[in-house]
Amino acid sequence: MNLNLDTKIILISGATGGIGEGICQAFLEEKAMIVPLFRGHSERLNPLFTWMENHGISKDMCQPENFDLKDKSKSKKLVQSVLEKHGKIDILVNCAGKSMEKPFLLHEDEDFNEMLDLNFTSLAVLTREVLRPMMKQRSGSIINISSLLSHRFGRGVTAYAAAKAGVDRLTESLASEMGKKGIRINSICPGVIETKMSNALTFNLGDQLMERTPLGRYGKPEDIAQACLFLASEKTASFITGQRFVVDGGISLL
Amino acid sequence: MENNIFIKVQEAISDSCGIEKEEIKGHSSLFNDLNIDSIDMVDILYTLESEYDIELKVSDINKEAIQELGDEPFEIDNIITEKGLQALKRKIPDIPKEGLQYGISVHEVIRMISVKMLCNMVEIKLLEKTEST
Ligand SMILES: NC(=O)c1ccc[n+]([C@@H]2O[C@H](COP(=O)([O-])OP(=O)(O)OC[C@H]3O[C@@H](n4cnc5c(N)ncnc54)[C@H](OP(=O)(O)O)[C@@H]3O)[C@@H](O)[C@H]2O)c1
Repeated sequence: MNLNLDTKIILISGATGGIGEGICQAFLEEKAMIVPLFRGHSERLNPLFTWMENHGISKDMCQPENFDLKDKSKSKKLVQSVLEKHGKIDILVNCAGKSMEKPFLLHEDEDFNEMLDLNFTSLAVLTREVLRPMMKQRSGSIINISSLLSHRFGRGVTAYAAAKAGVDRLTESLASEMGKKGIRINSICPGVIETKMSNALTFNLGDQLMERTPLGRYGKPEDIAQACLFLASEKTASFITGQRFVVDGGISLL
Repeated sequence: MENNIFIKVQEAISDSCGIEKEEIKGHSSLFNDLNIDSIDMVDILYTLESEYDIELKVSDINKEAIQELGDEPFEIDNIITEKGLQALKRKIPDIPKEGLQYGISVHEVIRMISVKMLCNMVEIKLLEKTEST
């Protein structure tokens, strides 16, 4: 099925992470042009460029920008720069995130700030800046990568879970503000996905969690990426906004 | 130039809210006559910001009055002081005076913004910009 994403410009945060890279690949396969965000050295995106080369995708389809999401005051400049270079932003995928595993009583004040700052505030600020040009275009789709922990489980990850719950509420309330301007906003709540972030968890629990998952496996970045394409495309999701999409192999049914 | 600003403001409002340009007069109140909402307002300001390379905030409407008052408070608990109201009358001649009664909030003043007042805000920002360069 042609998702009509081939003329789209996609801004993706957290592109150097496991899920982010999967999302980049999925959009590239749909012939969209991606603007992945990375921080530090651009070599961080080498695996993606190698993948592109192996799949015969031109380097021009990937136009990275160096941006640390904690530099919130520079978000406006980033968006301006993307607009100057590419003329528009059709889709924003907020995928950057960081979790923290520790009992609640051991959290330092700074830990709360850190969890909220990256997982919620920087996402909200970047979203605000991207929304301005999207409002002018009268179209756009924003996809927030939240977590199943935003509304289920959460023992030992309270601050992270609370920040992700904020992302889901932001998604819902913003969707009702922006619908009139033709902009859709949804969140995806992954269960356990095999990336660096879930390494410790899957290692500690061995096969326990996998065996309890109705679909009998952990998720892969592609599972999230495909849900992302679905929500991004006007062909498949033009009447869907303000929703929370759980992609978890059924573990939340437990 | 003033007239030019009016045309651009008219265009911005028309594009953002789908209102016919002819309906957008200088004295039209954006919120009360043209029925725009605060999201449309963000949209309009963004268009004008991009057009003129300036930064606009709706709260700028009160800026000059606040500056005139110096250390005197402009508002207390979001309610504009008597002195604040006097300053607004002096600094924003186009503001509907009958609405400026004691008890109104900062937000209510913002809701009084007219097309002409918006044009003035742009003009002031453009002047500030040329002065700083
Ligand atoms: N994996 C899971 O099981 C799972 C489950 C539920 C939800 N999620 C969510 O899915 C998203 C992606 O997670 P993942 O599994 O792909 O994790 P990951 O491999 O650890 O990737 C995290 C991404 O976020 C970026 N990031 C962190 N801090 C940043 C900052 N200050 N500025 C810019 N980028 C920053 C990282 O960039 P650097 O490489 O520069 O650090 C990296 O690209 C996250 O929002 C996460 O909460 C994951």
